[in-house]
Amino acid sequence: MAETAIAHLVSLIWGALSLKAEAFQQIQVLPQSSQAALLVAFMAGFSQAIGQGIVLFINRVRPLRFILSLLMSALLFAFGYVFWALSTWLASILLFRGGWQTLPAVIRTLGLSYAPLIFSFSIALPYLGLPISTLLSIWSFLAFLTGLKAALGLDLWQAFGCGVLGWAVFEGLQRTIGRPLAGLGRWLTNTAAGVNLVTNLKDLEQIVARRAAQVVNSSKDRP
Amino acid sequence: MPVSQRSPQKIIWAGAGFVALVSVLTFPVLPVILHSLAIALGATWHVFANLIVITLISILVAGFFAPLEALGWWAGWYGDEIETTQNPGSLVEPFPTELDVTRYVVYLDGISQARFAYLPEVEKFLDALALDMPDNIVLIKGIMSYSVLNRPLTEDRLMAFFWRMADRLQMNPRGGLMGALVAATINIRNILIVSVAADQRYGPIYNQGTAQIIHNSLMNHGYQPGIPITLIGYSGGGQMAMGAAPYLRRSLKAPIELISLSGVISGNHNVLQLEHLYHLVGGQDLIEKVGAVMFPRRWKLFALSYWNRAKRRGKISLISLGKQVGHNGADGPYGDRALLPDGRTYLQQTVQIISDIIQDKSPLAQATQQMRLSNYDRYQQSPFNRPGTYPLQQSVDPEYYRPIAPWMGRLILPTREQRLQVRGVFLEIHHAPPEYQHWVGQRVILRWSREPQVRAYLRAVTKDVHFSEDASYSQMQGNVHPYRIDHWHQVGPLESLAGSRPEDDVIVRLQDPVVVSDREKMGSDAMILSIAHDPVQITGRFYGLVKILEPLEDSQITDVRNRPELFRVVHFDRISRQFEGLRETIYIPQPVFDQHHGSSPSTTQNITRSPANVMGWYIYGAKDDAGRFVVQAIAPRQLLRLQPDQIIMGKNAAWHYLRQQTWKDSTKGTLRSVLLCPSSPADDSSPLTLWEAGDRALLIHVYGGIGGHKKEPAASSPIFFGHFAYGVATVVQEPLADELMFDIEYHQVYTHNIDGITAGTIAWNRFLGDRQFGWLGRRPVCDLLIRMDALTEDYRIQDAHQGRMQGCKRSVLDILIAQLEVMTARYRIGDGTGGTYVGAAHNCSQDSNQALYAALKQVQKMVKSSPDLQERLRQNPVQEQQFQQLAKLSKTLRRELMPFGTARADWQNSNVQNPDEQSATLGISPEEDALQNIRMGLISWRTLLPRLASETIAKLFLEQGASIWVLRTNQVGGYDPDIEPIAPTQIGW
Repeated sequence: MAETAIAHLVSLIWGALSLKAEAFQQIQVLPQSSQAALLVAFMAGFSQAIGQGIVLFINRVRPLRFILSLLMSALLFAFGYVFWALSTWLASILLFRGGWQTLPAVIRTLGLSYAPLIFSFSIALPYLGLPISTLLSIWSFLAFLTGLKAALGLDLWQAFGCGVLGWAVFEGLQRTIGRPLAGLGRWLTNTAAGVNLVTNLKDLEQIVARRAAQVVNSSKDRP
Repeated sequence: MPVSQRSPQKIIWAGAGFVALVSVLTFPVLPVILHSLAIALGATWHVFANLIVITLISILVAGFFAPLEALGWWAGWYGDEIETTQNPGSLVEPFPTELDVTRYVVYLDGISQARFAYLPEVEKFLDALALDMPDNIVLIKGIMSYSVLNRPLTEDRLMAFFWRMADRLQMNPRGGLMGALVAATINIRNILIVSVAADQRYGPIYNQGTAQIIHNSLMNHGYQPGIPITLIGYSGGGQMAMGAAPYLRRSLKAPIELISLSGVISGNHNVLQLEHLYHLVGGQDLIEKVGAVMFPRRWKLFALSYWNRAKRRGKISLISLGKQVGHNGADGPYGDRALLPDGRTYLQQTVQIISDIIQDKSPLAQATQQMRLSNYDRYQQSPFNRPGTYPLQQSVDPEYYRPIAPWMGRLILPTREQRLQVRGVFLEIHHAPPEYQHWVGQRVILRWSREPQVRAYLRAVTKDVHFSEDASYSQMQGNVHPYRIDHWHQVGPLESLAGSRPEDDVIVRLQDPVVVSDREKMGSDAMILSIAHDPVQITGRFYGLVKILEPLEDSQITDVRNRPELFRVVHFDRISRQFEGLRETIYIPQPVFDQHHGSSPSTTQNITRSPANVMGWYIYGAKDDAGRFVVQAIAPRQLLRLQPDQIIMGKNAAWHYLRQQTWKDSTKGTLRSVLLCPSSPADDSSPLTLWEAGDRALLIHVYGGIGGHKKEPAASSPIFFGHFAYGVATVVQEPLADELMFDIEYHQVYTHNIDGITAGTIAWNRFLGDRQFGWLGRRPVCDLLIRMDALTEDYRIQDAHQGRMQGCKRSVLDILIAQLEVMTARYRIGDGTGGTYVGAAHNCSQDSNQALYAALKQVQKMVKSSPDLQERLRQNPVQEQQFQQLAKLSKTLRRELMPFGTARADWQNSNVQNPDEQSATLGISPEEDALQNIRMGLISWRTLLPRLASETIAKLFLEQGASIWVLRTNQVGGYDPDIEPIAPTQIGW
């Protein structure tokens, strides 16, 4: 078997899941590791899209479009991952003055640390879904910390700081130069879904309430 | 005995030898046996473990699929028109169609339900329940709440054959362990559905489906909007019912209560929207207990969850079914074999409790505990405060005494058993118009009339009353709460008024129109009076106009503190217009000392030297057994007659007076009546001519504090807030003095208090003039009477009521009064919690002005929605000008009321027409959510402080050209050397 990251994907994922530093060290050295990281991110994204499928239901997306929307959100998720990696890398530079050479390491680490999110589909489980989603996020963040420690040779607190600052930078980017990109993403999503997809929680609630009123009114007309 | 001593040893040896022999013989084969045994065990274990894993995985997979039916329904994947009217449930017992149904009860079954028919024990329960309830309560069964499409598991499904088998096994348990396991799949499937309904994401969708099914079922069985609904949810049905209830309420606009029988409830639904949640649980019910652990929102830790908030507000009552009752089966609440200590079966008990709750015979104890005596209790010690002191039949000299109003009497709260018949309260008639004279002293029934406006009012304020923890605590601290109506269903404003105090001693006069209907058809021989407005709380029955001459020092001294209580007075003679009429002795009893405020409510000390005595006093009261006229309340004539001490002309001068002078002079015992006219009348006539008999004015009331040696506790800080209220002053021709006089009624938005002052419409002679309960002698008062034609002019308004257009003549003032009546009625029961408390967000001032805001909004809405009105306004230039004035005023008022550009959410939502949109927030003590309270209070900060609010609003009226009559008093009556008036602190501007 060729010594590529793709070939070792399962063991890599397994390693990331059990928060083993070796897995993150391995992915830095194996060939095709960036593809492997992207693949993990895509799988996590797809899984998460399934888990959050309720959004599509509330928006009353038709079955075929439904599948399309799932794929689209997986792709967008992977896209978002690249940006996240960028911002984390920026954060690491801001904090520890690394160089260009650390960027691929951060990308690979972040990708692999998405491994726990492969189980995101289980968010769809009734009632248990929400706590599971919290657990998975924490798990993924821990994997990310482990990976960052291993990849950049940081200690735990440095990695933590890097993660937090990365998040802040990401939020900042999203609200400034990321806007056109986000707009593009939204357009893609809406096109895939075939409706103007509402994802904001408050607006979703409103949709539900409005529909309820309609249903009641229509039933009132019945004899 | 040697033999027997040796024999055990022998046996042991023999046994050992036998074992050794067998061992030797079997030694070669033993490992083989053991090995194969281990393999067999291992294989079994393997199979077993696999089975468990397979089961778990299938449950997990089933979990993923559980929300799909609901989601697909929502997304319209099953086609747009799902026939949800199919299988609309069935009646447990048919009801005679000619009966007026008083309540609908819907049963939702537990998780063992697979189709419309229930387990035998459930059917037994429902039959017994239907038998126990009167015919006018309808009981609906047969709703499949575990399917958003109301589709049984056993039909029209891919797996229907399997569910049919499982259901058969469940109905007649046989087939051993395997059978039981198969039967249990129904439970597992339905538990997953319960978890869908409890889920924060799927729940809203699923529960809407359930609500829809219940809605259809109710409609199918002749439901009329507004009829109260009881949902009974057994086990998982509790969660289903809880989830559906808020949606059902929104669509049906009816009061809904939920009886959860061993219910598993998640706690993240809005219990606050229910009238009440009765949670019935047995001591051995482990499954219900799992609910309390499984659902974090029910943990005490999450204090702000709906569940915990509802619990504190008294919306949830836990009722124990007894220590030995479990969740289901023979030990469950439907068990008809096992006996309770009192000899009833579990089933009998369950039926009894539920039937009682539905019929408003709640098994819950009322909160009657009191740790400290209230002022009200102490005041009862004096006979002059007790209605029984005054004989029902009495006559007075009509030359010098007149009845306060044509219809007067004492409100009497019916007992719980009488409620259904009475549908109102009793009134002990103290005075009636001449043609009904023979009814004086009798008890009649007082009810609301059935006009649409009255109905809308009732819908807005009628609530189940269940005391919250705060209300019970406040009552223990000595505040007077309406505990007699605790745990009553659907308490209306008449009952809340009659039941507001521990004793039936609310004396009222009835406002026109009073409709008399003799003897109802039903055979009851009581007369029935119907009214359209809140009765006005008053003091006394008759009044006279006197000047006090001197105390009768040498007469019998009835007061222990050696103060005279008998006084010589002279009546006013309207021919000579002097105090030259009848001279007589009247009884002015000393009030009971007020320990809470630390001073006496009123005094007669040096009352003859009071400046007000010159013009005389209106005295209100009735005769006691001895035939003496007992003075319960007084009012200075100088204040109430339409003769100002000063008239101020011009807008600026008027504003200057209002701002700088009103509260300036606070000499104890003085009073002042000043008329402010922003613009002088066109023809140089006196501005007084503008005020004619029958005119009405909007009144803004503010009172200050009690200072001096015996200052009240609230006055110990440097800032004194005071109190705010709206009211109405009507100009009347007073017959005894034959002159114009203000007849004043307050709409007191008053929190529950230690004195027993009840929120509602209160006459001047009660709220201020009463010598025990009133504030005239102790607090400085400022009443601003605002007269503006645009306010009191009637506009014929098209009012859209349930599709029908109805024209009714109403003025803006009437609309405001209606809103204030809503607010005061809500205050009496604290929106069902039994208590209201002073805080930043809710207090007299904020909520009075909330009513004003609602009235303005209503006016605006009606103008917009009534093109007819606009057309007619165009034809009538005078009215149009008034209307423009009003529109301007309304705009500026709204701007002042919401300084931050937007009204508080709770103000925006409350509306008489749409009571269900009311985010009922009264009855929450300020401590509960301190930050939120302050934040809400600050959003409407101008109306937070009584004096600032009154000046703000009066100024806006002045600017629109309204004239304002200022009535100021400073502790008028006898002279109390130990107190001083405190003006409300001036803040703002």
